This record gives sequence, C-alpha cells and structure tokens, in this order.
Amino acid sequence: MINISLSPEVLFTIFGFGVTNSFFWQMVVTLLLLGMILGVMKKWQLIPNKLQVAVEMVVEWMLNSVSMMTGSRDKTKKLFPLVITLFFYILFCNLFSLMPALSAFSLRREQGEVPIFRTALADYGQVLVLTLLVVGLVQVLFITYQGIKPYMKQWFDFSSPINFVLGLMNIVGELAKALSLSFRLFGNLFAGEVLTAVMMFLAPFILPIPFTFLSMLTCVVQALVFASLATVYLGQAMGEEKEVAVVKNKK
Amino acid sequence: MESEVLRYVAAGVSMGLGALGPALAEGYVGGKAYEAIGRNPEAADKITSTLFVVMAICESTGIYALVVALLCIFA
Repeated sequence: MINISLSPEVLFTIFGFGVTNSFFWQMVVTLLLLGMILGVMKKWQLIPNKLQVAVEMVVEWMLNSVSMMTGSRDKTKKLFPLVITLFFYILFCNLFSLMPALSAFSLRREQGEVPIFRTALADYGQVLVLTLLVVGLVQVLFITYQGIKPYMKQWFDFSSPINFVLGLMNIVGELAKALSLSFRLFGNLFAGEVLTAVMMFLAPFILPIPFTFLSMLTCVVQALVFASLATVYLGQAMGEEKEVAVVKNKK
Repeated sequence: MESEVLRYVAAGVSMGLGALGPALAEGYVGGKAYEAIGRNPEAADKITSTLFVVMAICESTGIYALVVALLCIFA
C-alpha cells in the first residue's frame, strides 16, 4: 500500500543525533535562501542591476503590504525582517514539494524503504517551533511595549467577576492561537502530501495534475497566511501608536 | 464493532462533519467578496488578497478535522 507516516523518517545519524528527511530538506532550503541573499548582497550597488531591481521591487511591495496590516511604518520596520523571513522560508520549504522526481528516491534499510524527500514542514516539530517563536515573541513584545502591568491584567483582571472570567478565557485564547497557527500549516502540508500520494496510487497519469495545481496554490497561500497572521498578532502585541496621542494633544 | 473498523468510521465521520462548516464559511466569504468587487471594482486587488487569507482561516477547522481523521487512520 501507500507509504505514509505521520512522523519523519530518520535518514542517517551524526553522533547519535538522528537526521530526519524533513530536517535534511530544511537545511537545504536554509542554505539555498542564504546563498541567494548573499549572492544578491555581494553585488549590491547604488545603480542597481536587473536582479537587484527585481529584489527591491519585491521587498518594496511586501513592505507596503505589511505596513497595511500593521497600520504604521514604525511597527513595520521592526517586524518586517522576521515576518518576511518566515514567509520566504515557509514558501521555499513548500515549493520544494513541487519539484518533480524528488519523491522517486529512497534509501533501502532493514526495516523497509525510507523516502529521501519529505516536505520540510510536514513535520509537526518544525511547525511547532516556528509557531512557538511567534507566540513567544508576542509575549515579549507585549511586555516590552506595554509594560508588565497591562500584560498581567489581560490574564488576571480583578476589577469585576466577569472580567476575571474573561481574563481566564484569554489564556485559553492564547493557547488556541498557538495550536491553530501550527495545525493550520501542518495540516495543509501533510494533507497535500497524503492527497498526492493517494492520487498517485489511484492513477499515476493525468489525475494528479489538478491536485498539483491545488497544492501549488496551497503552498503560496499558507505561507502568506502564516506570515500575515504572525504580523497581525505581533502588531497587536506592540499596542497602539504613541504618535496618535501626541497629535491629539497638539490640537 | 472492532477497533480497526471503528477507526475508519471515526475518520470518515470527523472529516465529513468537519468539512461542512468550512464549506459554508468559504462560500459565504467568497460570495461577499464578489459582492464587494461588484460594487467597487477598483478595490478588486485588495479584496482578492484578503479573500485568500480569510478563506484559509475559514478552512482551518476543516484542516483540524483532517488532522484528526489522519490521526485516526495512521496513528
């Protein structure tokens, strides 16, 4: 039958540390992105060449979309590097799953065949780390921008019984944030992988083509959704702008 | 019923019921988006980009059901 496993398979071990197939591809994507960025940065100049123009246009467009979400240029400048890194990382991890012929390779072991390729983020561990990074940073930003007092007040509000219960609900909401963010990404990618495997099993020709288009759409949209939700959460944690208050005082 | 049978039944039921909500939600979101584009065609780009994000969020409950169903079958 079809070979589907929920956890990634171990390809080889380095000093007792099992390198799984999704970890391997994660490293490949990281090195690829680093190489691309360093390659562009090396020839960075005042009068741009074609590649630099393309990169600048993409970055500018993204800067505008991110500032539309956060609502201020100042916040955008602080969040932009993280959010855009998340976006490109997830995007490239996903796009690797569309590479033809990669899934044909596998290692032969005593306990059976181990496929070399696996979508890097179809491994709940990796996705959970990305999510915890975002949710953890939300807490840090909330405390640094709005102070420890309002931070504790959103959990434990003793002003009235109703507020206290609502505060406790906020704790559940924060946990749900982490769960939903990670399950959304993992579920979509893992489901895409299973769907492709099932379709390949049913009819290897023609039938998988529309599903490939579907997974292409999922790749981009999920990266976009993860990055934009991260932007919204982080932007909320940074609180309202101080400048608005200043303008009001002047009047 | 045997537990093996029960697992497949659980997977099918969770996916079937779980797909119901997102389907309604996505239809509603898509319909409203097109309504908005019909009223204000200049804003089509902005609406379409948010449309995808909102649709993916609507889809998430369906994805949870899918994860549960997959766990039922494979784990």
